[in-house]
Amino acid sequence: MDGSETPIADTVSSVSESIPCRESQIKLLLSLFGEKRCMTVPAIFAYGHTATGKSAVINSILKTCKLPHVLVNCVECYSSRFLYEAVLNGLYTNNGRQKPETPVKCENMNDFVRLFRHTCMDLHLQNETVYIVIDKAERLREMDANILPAFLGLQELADGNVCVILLSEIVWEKFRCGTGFQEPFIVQFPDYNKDELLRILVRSAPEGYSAEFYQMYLSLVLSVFHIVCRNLSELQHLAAINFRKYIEPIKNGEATESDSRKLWKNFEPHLKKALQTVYLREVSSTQWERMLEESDAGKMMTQQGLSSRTHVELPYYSKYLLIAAYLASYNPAKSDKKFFSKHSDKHKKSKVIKKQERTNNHMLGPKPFPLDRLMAVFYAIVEGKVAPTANIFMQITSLVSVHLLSQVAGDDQIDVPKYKCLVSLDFIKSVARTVNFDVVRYLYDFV
Amino acid sequence: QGTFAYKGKKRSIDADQYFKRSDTLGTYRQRLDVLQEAWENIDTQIQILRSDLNSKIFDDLVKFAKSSHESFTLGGGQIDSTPKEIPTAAFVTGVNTPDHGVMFSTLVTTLQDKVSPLVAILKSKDCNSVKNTLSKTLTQLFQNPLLFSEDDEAIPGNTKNMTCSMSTLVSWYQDKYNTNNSSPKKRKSLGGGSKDLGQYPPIVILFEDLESFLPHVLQDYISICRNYIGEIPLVFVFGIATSVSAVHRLLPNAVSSMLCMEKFQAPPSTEYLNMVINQILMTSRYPFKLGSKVFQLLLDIFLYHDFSVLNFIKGLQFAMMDHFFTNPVSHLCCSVEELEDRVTSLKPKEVEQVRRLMSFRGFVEGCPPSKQEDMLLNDKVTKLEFVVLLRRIHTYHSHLYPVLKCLHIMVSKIPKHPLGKQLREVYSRLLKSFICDTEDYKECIELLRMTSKDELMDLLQQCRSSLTEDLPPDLSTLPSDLDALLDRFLKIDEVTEEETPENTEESLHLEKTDLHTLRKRLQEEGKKKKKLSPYEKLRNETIDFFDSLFRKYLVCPTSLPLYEIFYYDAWGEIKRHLNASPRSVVQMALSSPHHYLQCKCCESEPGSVTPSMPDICIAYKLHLECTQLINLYDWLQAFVTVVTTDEDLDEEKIKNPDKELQARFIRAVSELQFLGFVKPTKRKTDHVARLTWGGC
Repeated sequence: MDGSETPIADTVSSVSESIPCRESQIKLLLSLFGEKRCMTVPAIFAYGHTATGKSAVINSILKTCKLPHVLVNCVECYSSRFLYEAVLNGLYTNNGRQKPETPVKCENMNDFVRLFRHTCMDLHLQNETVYIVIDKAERLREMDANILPAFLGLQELADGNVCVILLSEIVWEKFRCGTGFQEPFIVQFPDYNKDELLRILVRSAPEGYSAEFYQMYLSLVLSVFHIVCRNLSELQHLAAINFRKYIEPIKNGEATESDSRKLWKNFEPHLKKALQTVYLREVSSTQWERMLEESDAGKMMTQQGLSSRTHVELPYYSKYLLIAAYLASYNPAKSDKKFFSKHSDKHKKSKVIKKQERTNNHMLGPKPFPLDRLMAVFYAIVEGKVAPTANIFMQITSLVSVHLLSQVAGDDQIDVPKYKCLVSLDFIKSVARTVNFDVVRYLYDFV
Repeated sequence: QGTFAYKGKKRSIDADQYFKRSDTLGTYRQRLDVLQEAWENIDTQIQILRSDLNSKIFDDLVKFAKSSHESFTLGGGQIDSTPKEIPTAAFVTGVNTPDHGVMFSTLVTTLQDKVSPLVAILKSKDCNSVKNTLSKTLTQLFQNPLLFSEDDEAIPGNTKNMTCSMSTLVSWYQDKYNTNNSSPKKRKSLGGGSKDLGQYPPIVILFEDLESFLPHVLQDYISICRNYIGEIPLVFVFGIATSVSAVHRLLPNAVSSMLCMEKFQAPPSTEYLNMVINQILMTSRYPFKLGSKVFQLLLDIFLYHDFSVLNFIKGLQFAMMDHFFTNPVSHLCCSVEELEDRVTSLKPKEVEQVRRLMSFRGFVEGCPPSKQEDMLLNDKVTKLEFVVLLRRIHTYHSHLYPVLKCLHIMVSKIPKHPLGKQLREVYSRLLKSFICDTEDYKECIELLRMTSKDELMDLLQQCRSSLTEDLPPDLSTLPSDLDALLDRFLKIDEVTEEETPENTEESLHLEKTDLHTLRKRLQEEGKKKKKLSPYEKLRNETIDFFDSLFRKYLVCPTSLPLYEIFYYDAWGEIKRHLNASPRSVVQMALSSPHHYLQCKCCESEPGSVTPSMPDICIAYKLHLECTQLINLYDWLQAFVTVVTTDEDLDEEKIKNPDKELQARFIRAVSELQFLGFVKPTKRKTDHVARLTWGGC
């Protein structure tokens, strides 16, 4: 026992050097793996949110200990055949061997078990534990029904020393469908807390600045963003793109590194702006910097930037068609007469409606409507006479193709097609403004 | 558009036969040649415009694609432990989807020329699963002709036998560029232009219509690509029709955080349209012109319907074809140099044809009687006259456009834009009528007479700078005239000083009078024209100068004799072909079948029903008289009454019509249902619901 204790401690420290704050998981995994020749648990299920170090921990353990292993990402395996072949071929390449001349072909689980045993023999791995790491394991559920149970019991089926490690973002309970599962050993990777995030982020401090200074900066960034975002990689991204702005006064010679108050004052409004676009990743860091320079020149930039994000230029009739579709989606069909009939007395009827009885249609989302109704509303609101030409109908199709409308029923034109409008109220308001149409006046919810 | 394709095909198959059928004068060959030559010229010009327009955005994209993987080395991915993001260009293209095909194919060739031979373009219709998407990518990359120009290695495997996965691509890429490293000969095979591409050309993958991709396919595809970003240099280009937020609708944060996006905005298609109009329609280089109605129609289709310049150009091409096809003397629509030869070689029949043109008849009537006879009978004299008249149109064109640009500049700053904001709007007005007689023009001139000095000088300066291109002899003095005016404006300040004391003197005289006389004098004063300051005088002079200039040159083309040869204005024809309205055509066919069947028997006044009409027309006409729900039995009875002739009409037969009549009726009704006029309803038994209203 004494002999084995030290290597484990060594590996723990070397692995956790590159991946901090995960000591307990590393220890646990390493003790599960044991020595090379020891039998391991048949399956380990590691789960946790994105960017909690699942893959990183397991990869670096497997690499530092030089254990025979293969990594497969289920996203790539759009059929089970690919999964089998990826595992088998990966075993060759990952263990320093040249790929076999003809890649292994494998059609089903039965072949896989047989070939797997054969491969292990081939590579002289009978006396070692072979690790199969399956990333995005939740995809396995969508494949053939036998795959998940078979992988969980692979040790038994292949009659060899193999350990299957499943990585996923969702809990194990969601995997239980059907029977015949061997329960895997479950390892949870919890979210990092604020201090841990700080410890990890500070490791990527840029050159030329002291760690304390960067830590100061990071705690500022975290104080703003931690409320909305705890994703490590997103925070990394944010810290990286905003650092240049933070140190701007230092570069200009207006402040020193210790002058944190001044730096914060300069930095705060900028962070508030960045908060609006968190998660969007619409700009690369270079473009973000360019945008900042422009926004310094004119303060209007961010507002414009945000509105231009959703602004779409449309042909004249397309605008009306879209408005008509919006009205048809959010107004009950019964109310059409009230809004669009020329002879009805608007004031008399609006009093009759009891406000408390109806639910807000905007809360319920868009409703499907037939093409006829769309055209009727269109003709009621459009200015001037419009011939029902093929071009008009073509525009409906092109609105569908850019996902401003969606077709919900009726695949061809003869079978009355139904549509839904997919745009938001703000969007339709801005479209209506460009054609001087007061859309709110025609909406049932706002009358 | 469909019609257009059909016509073009026909022409290429047996143009001779097609033309002969409707050709009375035997000029079709000439006309065809003129058309083809003219279209070729215009087409090359359009190509040039297109590449000019997109050159800037393409340059940006090329720069982006090049720079995104500058530091890439094979095997570099393993050293860098943190996963990288895929550089992505979000290319916002605008909603004019018909134009995108051409745009992307140019982009692909540009990228292949300047960045990397490894370019794949994905369209949503080919990518309904991850497998298809991957195989599409790999096929395009592997079977790239640019890579195998002097081929010594076989195209790697048949893609059908190959496993379609990213790792195949990775090993292929590594094979290829590792060997390139060692043997200079193979590197050469990448083609001459690729020397500056660097050792590892990036793999560019374009998504032409990102919005239409299935979200889960796209998500998977991107995550797969991200896993290999360390091993192969991938660059994405997303073609987005609406706005960048579409990306976020398609991709969850987990996937979009794998991308490092940069936004690129393509120039709006209106800019392209303006270029096309300015450089093709509004220039004296191309003799063919669109008449006002057709021009307006094409513009309307563009602005109201699709924003597609491609469709506009197709419309223009169609107009040209129809012009040369229908107008038997349209081969006279040529450049000035060829004009004389063409006219002298006219055959007597053709001369007669030209004489029949409405504008020429009007012209002849305006001539003195002695000349009239010559014009109508003497071919030689007429031909000479033709040359003069056609030349006049050419010179008119050469004057028109520079002056029109001046007019546009002058009126473009006027509030509310009475003559239109864009040059094309001003042009459209000019085509319609003599622009200087319109109320809007007069309003503009009035408003111009009130502009401030700075504004006016600015306008003059702009006019001056717009007149750079080589001007026809008549206009050659115009720039210097403008310069002289500008000079006077500059010197005007010196003159103003002297005149101010006069005004004060006059006002002194007003003192010491009683109220009544004061009022009287003030009224007189008001009536009297206020004394003009030198600036105002000069301003009036300038405006008068421009007014006379506009009146002289901005004549409506339809007032010129023989304008029909250059101007195409068959509005109805082009509308029928380009802006078809299926419903009104169906209704027309149903209500007046003789229009299509060309039979005498069905001809009747609208509204009446005759038994000789086809069954469906009778049923249609009868259903027009009904309300929302139609009783089938009543309808049948009415149908039988109409169909059976008067002799064998009796009560019994109407009540119980024979099987044949019933069958005919049911068939007509189901045809109407198919056309969407009625539909079965459950609200009342034996009834159908009517679906359309109006029409005759």
